[in-house]
Amino acid sequence: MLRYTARRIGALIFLAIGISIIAFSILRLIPGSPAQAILGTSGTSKAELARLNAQLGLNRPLVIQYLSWVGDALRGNFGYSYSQKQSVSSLLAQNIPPTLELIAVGMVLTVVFGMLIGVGAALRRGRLTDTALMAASVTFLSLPSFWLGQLLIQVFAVQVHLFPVVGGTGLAGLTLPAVTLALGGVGLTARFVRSSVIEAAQQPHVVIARAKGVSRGRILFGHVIRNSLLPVINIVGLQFGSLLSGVVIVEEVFSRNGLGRLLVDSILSKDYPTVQAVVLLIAVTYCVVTLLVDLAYRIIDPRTATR
Amino acid sequence: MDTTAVVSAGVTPPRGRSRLAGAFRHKSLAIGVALIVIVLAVVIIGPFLNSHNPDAVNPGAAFDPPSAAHPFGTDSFGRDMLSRVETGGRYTITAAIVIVLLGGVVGIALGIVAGYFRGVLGFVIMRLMDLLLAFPGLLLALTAAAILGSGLTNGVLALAIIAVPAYARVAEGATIEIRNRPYIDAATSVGVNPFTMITRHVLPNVRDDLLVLTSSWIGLSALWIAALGFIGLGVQPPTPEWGTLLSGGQDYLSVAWWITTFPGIFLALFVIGTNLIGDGLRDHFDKTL
Amino acid sequence: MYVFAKKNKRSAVALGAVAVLTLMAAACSSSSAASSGSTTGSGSASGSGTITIGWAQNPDSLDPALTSEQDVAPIDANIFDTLTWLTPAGTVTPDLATSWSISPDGKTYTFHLRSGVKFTDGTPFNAQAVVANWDFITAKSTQSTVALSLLGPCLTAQATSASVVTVSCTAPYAPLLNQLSEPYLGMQSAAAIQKYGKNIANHLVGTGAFSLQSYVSNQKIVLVRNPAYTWAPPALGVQGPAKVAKLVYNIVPSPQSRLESLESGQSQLIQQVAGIDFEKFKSQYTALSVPIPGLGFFSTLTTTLAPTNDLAVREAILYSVNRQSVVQLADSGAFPPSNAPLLPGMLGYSPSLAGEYPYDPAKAAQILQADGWTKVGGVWTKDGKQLSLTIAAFSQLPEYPLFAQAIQSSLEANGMKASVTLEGPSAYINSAAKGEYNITPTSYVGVDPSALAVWFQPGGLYSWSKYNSTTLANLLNKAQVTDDTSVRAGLYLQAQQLIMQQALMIPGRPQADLVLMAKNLTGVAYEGGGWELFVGASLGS
Repeated sequence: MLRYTARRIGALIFLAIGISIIAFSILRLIPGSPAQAILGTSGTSKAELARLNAQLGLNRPLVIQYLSWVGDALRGNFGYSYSQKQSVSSLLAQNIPPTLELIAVGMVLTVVFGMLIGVGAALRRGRLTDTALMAASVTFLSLPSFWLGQLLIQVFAVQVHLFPVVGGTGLAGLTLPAVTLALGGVGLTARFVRSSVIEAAQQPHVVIARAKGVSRGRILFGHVIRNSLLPVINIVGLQFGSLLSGVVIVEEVFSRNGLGRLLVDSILSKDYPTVQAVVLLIAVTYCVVTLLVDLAYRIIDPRTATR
Repeated sequence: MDTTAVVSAGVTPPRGRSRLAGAFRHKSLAIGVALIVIVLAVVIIGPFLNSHNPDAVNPGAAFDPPSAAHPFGTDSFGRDMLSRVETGGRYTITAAIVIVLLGGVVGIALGIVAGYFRGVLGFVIMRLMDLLLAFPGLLLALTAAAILGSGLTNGVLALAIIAVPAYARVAEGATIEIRNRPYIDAATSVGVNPFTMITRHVLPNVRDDLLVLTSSWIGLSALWIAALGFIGLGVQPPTPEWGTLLSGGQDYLSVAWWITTFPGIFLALFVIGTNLIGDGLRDHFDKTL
Repeated sequence: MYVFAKKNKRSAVALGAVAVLTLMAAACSSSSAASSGSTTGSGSASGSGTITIGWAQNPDSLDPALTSEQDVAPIDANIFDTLTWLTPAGTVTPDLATSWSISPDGKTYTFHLRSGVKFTDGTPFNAQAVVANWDFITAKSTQSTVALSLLGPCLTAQATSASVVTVSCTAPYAPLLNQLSEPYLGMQSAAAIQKYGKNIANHLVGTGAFSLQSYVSNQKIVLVRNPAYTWAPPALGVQGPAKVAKLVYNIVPSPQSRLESLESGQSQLIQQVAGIDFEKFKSQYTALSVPIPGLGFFSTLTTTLAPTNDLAVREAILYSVNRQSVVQLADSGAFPPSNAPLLPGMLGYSPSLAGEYPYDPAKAAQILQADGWTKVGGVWTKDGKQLSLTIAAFSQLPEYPLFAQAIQSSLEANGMKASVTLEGPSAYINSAAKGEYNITPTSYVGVDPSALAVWFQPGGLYSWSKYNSTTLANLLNKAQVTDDTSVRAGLYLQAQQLIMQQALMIPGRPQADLVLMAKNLTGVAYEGGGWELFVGASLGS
């Protein structure tokens, strides 16, 4: 176990380095002078350009530039955004909490409703309920979130004043965006849980336990759900990734602050220092979470340790 | 071919269940195909039956609700929505297919090379694929869009990059599995050339998994190219692509619901269809459920 | 699967029901707390209400000296007072300056300041404070854009006593009194300027009817009542302090979402309503079309980028764009199209300019053919290259892409290829400044025709057409220097004729902020520049 962990952490470090190289090269790959790109309209004077060139060390070899960028990043200094007129780290600080909130609620919805629908469908396998729930799941994971969000606002915020349209704080403001974000995941998780439960229920030891007279409830919770929980942990890890990617759209649709909206706005504004920081942050976070999920999987299921 | 199915199957289900499962399996495949046929029919044949030009601007007819003359209504510029949805479908669906073809071909090639030759080359290729997969969902495409700029071609390239690792992994896994079989080993030691080995043995074995992967990726690519268009990074307005149509229409939801509703329905139907086909194919190839 | 009893399914369902109910209970309880501004907006004569406003654009900076955005001015107008106040009819009236005199050579202004005015940090408003503001705006390290350009050549201020300030200009500058009413020249606390310098944007201190409580970028701006405020501009008719306790500006870039926030009762006022929504909802709400003076919506043509570097091509573009249908398309005809650089009602406008470039594709064809273009396959071609134009569209406000697309469709209908590219905020200004697009739809707010100098004088803040002409520069300079309005009008007329002759811009339409307000919101006043003032506003029940 320890060796596995060490190996995975080693892999994570390499991945983080690879991610940082890709993020770093964003600014260097675009055509034109990076300093000019960063300064935008503020950079009309040659003196300003020269100063930023020196500050960014754009005259130094690429490797040195990369190392100094990474060094700064590790200390929380991601540079200055000329288009938003504040430091990139303060932009990040403002936008991380709302995104975390949204993802947290989205994850809860995904797991809770995914399991409910998946277990419900597995219990009524082959019958109308099963087909209906699975049809709903496929629909959920196929709907474009940018379309769904607008519809939800129309119905639940405008026509029925259940939720605020914009800028809501607390759970009220989070509900519609979180539902929009999580719906695809609910569908995916439900399908996965269903097949996982069915497979677990078919295991010989479950059939035997039933034959021996163990209560149905004990079987359901004691064996089937626990055994199907394992693959679900895996799916949670994957869902985190799709939630991270989904916030980009959902935050735009609901005019919510967050990393996703920051990323899109920075790309459209050609605010490259911010783009670099957000890309680095999101990708590295995703890797770390995936690692933690994998480790949790191993801890819960000792069988996998021998594989 | 059946060896793969047996290898991946967990427990063989009792006979009664497989008949039930069989009915369900054929149903999802059938419904999926039906949906795709409907959408494609509208998108491909529709324009021939429809005399309106999707770009024809007609200020006098702006925001007309659905009627006989304009079954899907008109948009803010008085353009016929039916023809814009049809043309938009061509953009979105073609883009999705190109993304999958591009990403698929490159991914499969890389995966097979990595799985067949293994060693350092294989290691490097698969670690590169891991690196690409470290970026969740759209993030890599957004990064590519930041560098390349907006537009349809750049959007397609950016999304194709995301598809590569998925295909590479499947291809690599299958290639390794085949490679280790005794008769392959024997054949290699005799000196059969790799190319024949790959085309004659590896490809047919990967086929099923690739088909399932492709059907869900076409749906996903359609959603993602539309998402890029929606944000403003993919197709630029006024080119009608389902994503830009949805983006343009969202400003008028209170006065003209039809501008977003019809592109949204068609996009959803297309993606549902591809997902159902994927389900059906997976159930067909994998006998567990 | 018959192994499992209903009992267990029931518990699973119960679990789900509990989850849903908890969510909904939480939603309902916090939504009633969050929407204190909803339905009736909980206002009363005792003045404890909150007005929620749906705002279109995220400020680049809330500080008046640092911002370059049009949409920041109305917010700043409630936080800061200015030396003069412009009535909606365009008359200059006293505000923080009670009276003023101008020296005979037009280069020195003497302002007598109002007494008893305090900043919200307790420091007094006096001549020293005015001088500190002048120094801040003109300092190189501040990098002020609009505020600095509004001062023109009047860059030095001196305190001759505690309540008298003299402003010295290097040349006569007729627009000064008008420009001083713009919120960009709002007076900030000297102590705050000294303490924060360029970082003042989050620590704004003014003398206005409201003060800044909090600002979350891209989310909301909260202003609270300034209880000491009793010095509203006399022409406004109210004295102060404000009747409501709080103003909440929710930043909602999507006009559809803004409209929805009004429909759901969350907002009591929304600005920048889309033309079509305005037409549909104006009977249900109080509807105002607030004229915004300036150059309105128009497009610059870049003279340094092919093919618009060719005068013939520019003229042909002007004959090929159907300005009537562009406005019809982009704004559902909610405005009349413009025909000249300056708008009707502004000094220097003349109806004689209206006939300059009627929609005349035949004439355009003539001009192009004389210039060596031929139509190949329906597209104008010369030397094997098609006449292809690039149009920039500011992505954050929907009118811009609409305008760009409307122009594009007009051009394409007449044999010119045109493509639209969306650009985000600073990227849009950046590429326009570098002349990267042939046609750039834009807009400008201003209370004086010297706005033309900003756009068409070499070295002007937004000289995007990059046209260099000493004749034009001289005309614009002279017009700024003289005080005589009829002379100015004549000079600006000549300047416009030259601008149109050289086809440096495509006129668009006048700008107006289409505003919808809940019926129970009353007392919202407007200043001459189109800025909303809430000092007298209140919410009925």
